[in-house]
Amino acid sequence: MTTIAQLNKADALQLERRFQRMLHGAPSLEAAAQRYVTTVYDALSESIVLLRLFATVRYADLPDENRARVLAGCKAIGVGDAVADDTLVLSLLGTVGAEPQWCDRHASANHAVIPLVSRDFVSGIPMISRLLKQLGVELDWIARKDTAIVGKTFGFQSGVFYVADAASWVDSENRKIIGAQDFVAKYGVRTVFGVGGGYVGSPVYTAIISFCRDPIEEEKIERFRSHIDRFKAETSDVVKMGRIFTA
Amino acid sequence: MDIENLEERLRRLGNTLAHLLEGEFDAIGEFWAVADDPLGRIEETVQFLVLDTRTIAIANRDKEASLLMQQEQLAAKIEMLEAQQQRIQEQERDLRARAQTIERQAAAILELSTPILEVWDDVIVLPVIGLVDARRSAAIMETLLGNIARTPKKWVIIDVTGVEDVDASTADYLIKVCRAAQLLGASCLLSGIRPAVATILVGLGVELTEISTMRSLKEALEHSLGQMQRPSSRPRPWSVQ
Repeated sequence: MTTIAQLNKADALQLERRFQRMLHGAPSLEAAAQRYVTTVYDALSESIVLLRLFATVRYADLPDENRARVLAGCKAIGVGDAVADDTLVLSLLGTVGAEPQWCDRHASANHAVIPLVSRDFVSGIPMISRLLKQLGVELDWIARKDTAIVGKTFGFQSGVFYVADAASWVDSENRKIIGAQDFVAKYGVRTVFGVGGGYVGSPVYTAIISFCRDPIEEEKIERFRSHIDRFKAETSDVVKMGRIFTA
Repeated sequence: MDIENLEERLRRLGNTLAHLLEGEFDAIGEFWAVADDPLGRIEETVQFLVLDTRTIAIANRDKEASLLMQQEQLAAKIEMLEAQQQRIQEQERDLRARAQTIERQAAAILELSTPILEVWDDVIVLPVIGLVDARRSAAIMETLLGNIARTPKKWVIIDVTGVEDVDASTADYLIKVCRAAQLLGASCLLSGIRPAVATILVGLGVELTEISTMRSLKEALEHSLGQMQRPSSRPRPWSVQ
């Protein structure tokens, strides 16, 4: 085990190859996601408090449990009518962390599904708003109801999301980007970063988010861009076949 | 050091590298467990090479697909813009044609609005109806002077019975027309000034002292025909009947 700050090029490459071998033959995107986060966490748990992998999934393609959550959540805030089959939902597919309850996506109460139901709704969640923007996903497509935009353009991009200091960084509206400040304080979270990329011709966009207890320079994060390429290389077939969740 | 299954493992390595060179990643199949011997390290390296190459190949394929999609979107946008441009050009042509029609109609209207009536030998009448602006005044001037220059006339009657409204500039135009006619040797009469128009002219302080005015076209005709029978036919300047 090592820290992200100490990770040299050879170690990073070895880790990439290790997780890629683990992903090989995964029956679904969800299974691959869990294998990825587990492998990377095992290697970098000195740095990482919580590691999660999300993917955008059409509402219609969600398991019943997730659909019910989306609908209930949206109804609670008065946007239930805005949910359609094509609504993209940022769905938690893989999770691992310092607490046992963080190691099962089904146990996540608040972040299992984040419907990208409207620009205002997404803008109201500073972390997700910044994550999407920094990964190159502008929010205008939500108002245009153009979910195909993901497949049209995002496949070309792989961006980096970076918050150097989770406790102090704020957005343009002076809101803490990492809203869960009790979590940040309790676990000493310092840097939060993410990488993301889309699958061409599909609405699926994958984002890996890592909450770290040590400060990490942005330069180091760049090394994680290739994680997305390797993850996509091993999962493009299951995405193409529509195998997002493990039955 | 003995290496187990050397021949078989070397053959598998060779096949793997051959598929790799051809980009046939699916044909490589599942990775096998590597043995803890020198060949095993080579096998592991080859497996890594397969992973790395496949990742790069798929990433490049995705980028190419994205670029193709963007190219298609761009082509569609260009097509849409060209169609819009064509529509705009058609609209421009249509507007130009309409403008030309309007210009022709305006010219015809102008021509019709300045008729010259030869009512007697050496007497012409120019009935003015409606508004007299600079453009129409110029047309009246051109038509009238052209007519006088071609066949000199002794009397020109400008009948304004059809003029319902007047302003200082209209009066000024009419005075100029009369002056020009007089310069060409014709005597000019202004007939048919309505009471309302006369009131406006007085209110505006317009001086019509240089022009002879008659109440009606009938009187103007009688006056001009009567004057022609006398030795001196020029009317007194500014005589209101």
